Amino acid sequence: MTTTPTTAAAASTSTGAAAAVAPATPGPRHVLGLATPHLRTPAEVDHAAARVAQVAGFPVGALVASTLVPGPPQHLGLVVLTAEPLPEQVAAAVAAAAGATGPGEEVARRAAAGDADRVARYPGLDVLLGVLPVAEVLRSGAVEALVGLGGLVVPDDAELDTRDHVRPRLAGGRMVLDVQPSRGGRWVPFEPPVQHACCSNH
Amino acid sequence: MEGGILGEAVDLSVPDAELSPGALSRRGVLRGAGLLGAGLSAFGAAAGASPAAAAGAPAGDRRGTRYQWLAGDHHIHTQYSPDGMYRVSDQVRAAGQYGLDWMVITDHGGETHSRIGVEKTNPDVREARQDNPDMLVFQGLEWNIPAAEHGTVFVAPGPHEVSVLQQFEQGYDGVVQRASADEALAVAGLTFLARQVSDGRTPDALMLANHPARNGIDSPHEIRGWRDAPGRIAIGMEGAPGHQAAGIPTDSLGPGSARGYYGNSPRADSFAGYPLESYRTWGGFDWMTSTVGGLWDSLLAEGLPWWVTANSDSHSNYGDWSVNPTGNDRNATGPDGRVFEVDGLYSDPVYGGQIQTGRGDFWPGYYSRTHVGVARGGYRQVMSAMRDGRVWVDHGGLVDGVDVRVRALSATSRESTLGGSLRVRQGDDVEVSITVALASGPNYATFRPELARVDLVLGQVTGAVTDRDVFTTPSTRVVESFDTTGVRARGGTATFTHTVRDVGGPFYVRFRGTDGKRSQVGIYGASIDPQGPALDVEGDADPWEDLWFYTNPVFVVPEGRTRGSR
Repeated sequence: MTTTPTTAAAASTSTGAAAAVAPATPGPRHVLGLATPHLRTPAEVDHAAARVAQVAGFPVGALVASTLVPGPPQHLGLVVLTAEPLPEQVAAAVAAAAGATGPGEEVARRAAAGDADRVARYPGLDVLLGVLPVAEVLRSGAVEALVGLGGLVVPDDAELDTRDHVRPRLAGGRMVLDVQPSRGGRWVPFEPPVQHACCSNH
Repeated sequence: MEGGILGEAVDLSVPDAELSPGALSRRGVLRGAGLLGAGLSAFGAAAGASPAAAAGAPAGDRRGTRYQWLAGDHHIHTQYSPDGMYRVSDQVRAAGQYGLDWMVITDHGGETHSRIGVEKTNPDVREARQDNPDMLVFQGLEWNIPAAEHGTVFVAPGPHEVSVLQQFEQGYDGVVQRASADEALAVAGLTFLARQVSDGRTPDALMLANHPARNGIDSPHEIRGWRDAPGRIAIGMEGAPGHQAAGIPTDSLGPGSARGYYGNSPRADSFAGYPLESYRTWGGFDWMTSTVGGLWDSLLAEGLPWWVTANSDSHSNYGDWSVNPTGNDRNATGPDGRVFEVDGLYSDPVYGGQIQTGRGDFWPGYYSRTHVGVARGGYRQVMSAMRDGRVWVDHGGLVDGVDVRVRALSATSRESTLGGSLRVRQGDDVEVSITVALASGPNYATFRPELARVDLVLGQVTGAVTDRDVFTTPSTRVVESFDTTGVRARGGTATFTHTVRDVGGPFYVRFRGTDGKRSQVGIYGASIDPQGPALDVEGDADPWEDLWFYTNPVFVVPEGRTRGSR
């Protein structure tokens, strides 16, 4: 499999949010889509993304994301977005680390257009920890917009309880985080750190 | 088949409850085939279904027909569930204390349950029936619907209740069959149950989808598929999931989780079209039901029956003192030597030494109630009324009762109530009324709820859909809201009326009411639902401060002259 160069700059600039500063690292411009039919849950994607990020030569500043791929089997296809094309041996090691069975064209196509359902690894992931003012989250550049669930508007002076688990989506090249209201007027990411299994695992 | 019995089955002036078992099952089969009015046949005919339907459609009730409303819960776990703990007798006793009249024991489907659990539960259920003559105790199971969520399946008591449930579970449970993606197996399971009814092996069987939007895995086309399976075994879904205590904040010594445990995000088997909003509860209700113009309304707009309920999903209850002695370890040996995986049940619960505040469930009847309108009580009568949709639901004892009547002003001697279908003439004016009886006493949180508002939702019946995955319908909206804050001063009961003038096409109406403490503009905007239920706040959802009731719909079907004749 090869990396796919694209002219669509994914997550490179933050045109919409005036307060936001451009990310510290240049936006990824190349996508490597992988067929990962074994990935079914967000937790499995996070594990795969962590393995991918440990591949020797994996570039700092790359994004690892997933997108729902219609089946069968319906699964979460992994995609890697990088500023420069990955050297062939690194790409091969990434694919192996992800357990990929081949290229993932659908997820690559969507990522090339600047869209991915869920970004599991990205620059700034390690600073989005604890409780942060929303303004600070935006200033970090790791997330460019917060969108309230059900049409709710997130006030500028709100606080985000990251729960140490922030997984934005890539929408039109922007890192967008869906959030919901939480206790004490704080907001939390829509995605919980742990999914409630509740009697479904027997 | 004898003509006489067939005649009884197709004569809809004879209520289901008065049919012989044979005639009742034949009627079920006819309904399943779309040949008989299950509320909606007249429109079904107009939409191109069997012409036989129109002739058999009911004309509504005689005016003033009264029903006895029996409160119940069709989603309750016991020590026969791997994540449960209570004895059947514990749940039955509690349900009685908290005012229920009927209940369904629904332990999880699974390898152990299908092999021995179903069989071992039955003597406990039968004993509970004997010990609690005022309680209807159904045996059922919580079906792992192949390729989807869980669902309640239950049967009427009878000599074959164990074998029917067991065969069903062994053959069609998604976990037992390791069929996590086999949508057809779900329909085959419902077909199997319909055959058990038509063959007379069980008087009746019903299925309802539980916590349908929790993980986004009940796709619209699957729900339509269950609904359209033979025999009308699948009749609806939980309008509100259980686990209503789960969102009580930790500051209030609650579990601090998401209300209903609706806190997840999409996964690979989720239906891709569902928005993130669908994964949360709204005023304690499932998004499919709480969204005006959403999935439930899109089903009703087809002119087909699909009803909602509200249940406890009680596994382990908030504020209880007892614990499972093995800590729900399926392979551990309990004090009396029982091992769940071996014996099919846990040892009885034991005193735990401290109040359990980390749990998300209420006892059956304590908070969630499904009210079913029957002419007289009985197992088959409750099931029949549920299939007819004569059902409304409430949280926290918001009201004592609601009575919905729909009649044409030109023919006021006939009327229809919940789940019914009123046939009127084109151009008729139709009066929709609701009588609310406010809570006359305290609920189980020992305060008397005050109903603040009742909303009337009206939607056009637009017929069959071409896209079976559609989950919106644009014509449904709140058409009138009634301020009920003055009803207490007027004696606690009041009737509110809305008149639909010059009826041109089929439509349905449904009501909901609220204590008015939390609301938010509906997902499809203020013109559809200006004061809908609010998104429940994760970790901060006091269920007692956000109460709603929902009724099932009444359909109105104009007939006679063609549309252009007026």
